[in-house]
Amino acid sequence: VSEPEGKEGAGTVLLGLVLLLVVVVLAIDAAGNPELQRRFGRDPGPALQPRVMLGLLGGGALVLIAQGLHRVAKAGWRVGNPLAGVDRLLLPAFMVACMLAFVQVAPVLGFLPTAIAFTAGWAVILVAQDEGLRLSWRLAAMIGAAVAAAGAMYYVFQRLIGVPFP
Amino acid sequence: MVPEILAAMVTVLTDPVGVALCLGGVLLGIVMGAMPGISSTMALAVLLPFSFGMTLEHAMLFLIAVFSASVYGGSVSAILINIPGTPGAIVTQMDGYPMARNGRAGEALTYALLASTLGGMLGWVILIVFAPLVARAALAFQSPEYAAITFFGLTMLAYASPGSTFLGLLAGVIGLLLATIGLDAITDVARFTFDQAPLQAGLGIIPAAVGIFGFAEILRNIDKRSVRVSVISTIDRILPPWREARRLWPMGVRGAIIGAFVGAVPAAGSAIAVTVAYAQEKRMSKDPERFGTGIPEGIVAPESANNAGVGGALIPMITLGLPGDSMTAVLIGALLIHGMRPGPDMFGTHIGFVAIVYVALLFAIVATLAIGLVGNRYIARILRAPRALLVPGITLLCVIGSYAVRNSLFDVVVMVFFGALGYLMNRVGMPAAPVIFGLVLGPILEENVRRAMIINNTWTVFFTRPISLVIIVIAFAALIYPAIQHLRARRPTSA
Repeated sequence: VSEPEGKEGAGTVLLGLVLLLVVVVLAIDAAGNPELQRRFGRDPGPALQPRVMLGLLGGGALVLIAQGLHRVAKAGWRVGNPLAGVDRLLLPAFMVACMLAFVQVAPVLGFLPTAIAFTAGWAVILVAQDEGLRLSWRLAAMIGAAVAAAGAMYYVFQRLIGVPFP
Repeated sequence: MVPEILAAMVTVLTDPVGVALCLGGVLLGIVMGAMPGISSTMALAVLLPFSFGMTLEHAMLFLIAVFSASVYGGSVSAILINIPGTPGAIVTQMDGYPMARNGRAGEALTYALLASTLGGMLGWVILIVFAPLVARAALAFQSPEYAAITFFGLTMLAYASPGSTFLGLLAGVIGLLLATIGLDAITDVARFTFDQAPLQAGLGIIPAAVGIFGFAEILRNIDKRSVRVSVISTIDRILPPWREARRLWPMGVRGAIIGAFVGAVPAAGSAIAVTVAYAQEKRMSKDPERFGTGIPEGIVAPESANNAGVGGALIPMITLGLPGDSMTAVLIGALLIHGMRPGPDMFGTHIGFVAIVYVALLFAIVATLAIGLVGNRYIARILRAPRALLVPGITLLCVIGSYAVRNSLFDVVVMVFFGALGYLMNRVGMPAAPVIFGLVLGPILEENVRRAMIINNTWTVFFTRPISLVIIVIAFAALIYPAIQHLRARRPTSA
C-alpha cells in the first residue's frame, strides 16, 4: 500500500471532518431556534427533515472519517505532502474572489463596466496562462472579443429581455 | 391526445419566432454540447436566462431544443477529440475516437447522428405513449405515494453517481439539507437563515444549478495548465456504406428501448443507459473483442440509448414533477420560473402545453438531424474556440443567469457558492449533481411526508397503502443492492 493511498485516505478524513463541522454548526443553529422545538399538532413540524438529514449527514461524515483513517493506517500513516497540488487551487480561488468582488462592485460602477473589466481581465489571464503574457495581435483580439461579448450580452439581456441590471 | 399534438404542430409551424427559437436552440445545443468542458446540463443552465423574456411555449421550444441537441453534441467531441462532451457520451468515445483515427471520422459522426435520431424518435414515441398512462396512474397518487416515489428517486442516486455510491447518496443528503434553508412552506418557521433576509426565500434551484453545472465547470477548466487537445479535423466521407448502416439499425432500436426506460427512472441519468446499451450489444455480438477498436456497433447502441433517454427523462418530469436526470432538474426550475408546476394535472388543465413539449422534442430531433448532416463537416473548427474567450463569456452568462431569476445579486452569491461547492466536491471525488436532485426533490419529499402525517396521523400510512408500500420496498431493495454487490465482490474466493 503506497503513499498516494494514504494521501487519498487523508483527503477522505478531511472531507468527513468538513461535513461534520457543517453538521455541528447547523445543529447548534437548529438547537438555538425555539420555533424548531415547538410542536405543531399532527404535523411532524419544520424540524423533521433538517433533523433527519443532519443525522444522516453526521453519520455519513463519521463513516468517511473511519474509512479515511483505515486507509491512512493501511498506508503506514504516510500521507505525503498534504499541500502538494494546492497551487492548482489558486486560480479557481481567484475566480471565486473576482465573482464576489463583481457582486460588490457592480452596484457602484454599473453592471456593464464591471462586466467589461471582468471579461477583459480574464481574457488576459487565460491568454497568459496558455501562451505567456506578451503583447500580440492575438491578445488584443481576445480582449476586443471579450469586451464585445460582454457588451452584446448586456444589450441582449437589458434591451431585448428587459433584465434590470444595476 | 393526437388532435392536441396536431394543433400544437400547426401552432409551432406557423409561428416563425417559435421555429427560429427551435433552430437556434438546436444549433447552440450542438455547438455547446460538442465543446469539451461544457456538458449538456451546463449548456442548458447557462442558456436558460435567454428564455426568461419568452412566453412559456417559446421557452420550452428553445430549452428542449438545447436539451435534445446538446445530447448529440456531446458525441462530437467524444469522436473527434476523445473527450466526451456529456456524461452520456462516455461510451461513444470508446469506439468513436478509434474509428475517427482510422480515417472514418465523418462516418462515425454520421452514425452517431443517425443513431441519435433513431433513438430520439423512439424515445419520443415512448414518451407520448407512456406519459399519459403514468399521469393517469399518478392521479390516484396521494401524499404517501408521492413521498414514496420521491424517496425512490433519491435512492436511484446510488446508481446515477459515477464513482462512489456512498458519496453520491451523501451528496443527495447535502442537497436535501440545503433544501430546508429558508421559511418552511407549511408553518413559515425560518430554518438556517442566520438572520439573513435573502435566505428566507431559500436557495433558488436555478442559481444552484448554474453554479454546480456551469460555474464549477469553469473553475475546473481554469485549474488546468494550458490544456491542448488534438482535434481530428479531416472529415472527408460523411455517408457510411449503406449495407453496413442497414445492418446496424436493430442495435439502434435495442439501445433506444434501454435508453428510454432507464431515462424514465427518476434521477437515473444517461450514463447508466449508455453503459447498459453498450454492454448488451457487446454481450450479443459474435465478435465482442472488436468492441473498443473503432467499430460502428460501439457508437450506434449507446448513442441511440443516450438520445432516447431525453424522451424517457421527460416522462417523470411531466407526469410527476420529478427530474429524470440533471437536465430535467434544470427544466423543472425553468418551468417553475414561468409559473408552471409539472405534475399529473397537466394532462387535464394544460394539455395544450404538454402537446407543445411533445412537438418541441420532435422538431428538435428533426432539426438536429438536418443541422448535423449539413454542419458535421464544419463542427471540428468550433472545437478549437479559444478558452480565453469562452471562460469569461460563459462565466458572465452564469452571473446573468443567476441574477435574472429574481433580479438579485444575492442569487449570484448563491451561484458562486454552489460553483465552489461543486468544484471542491469534484476534487475529492464526490459527485455534485445529486446535490441538485436533493434540492429539487427535498421540498416535494418534505411536503408530502408531512401532509400524509397531518391527514392520517400515523407513520404506518406509508406502509399500509399498497402502491406506497411497493415503491418503498423497491426503493430499499435498490438502496441495499449496491452494498450486497460490494460485499460479494470483496468476499474471498475459496481455493
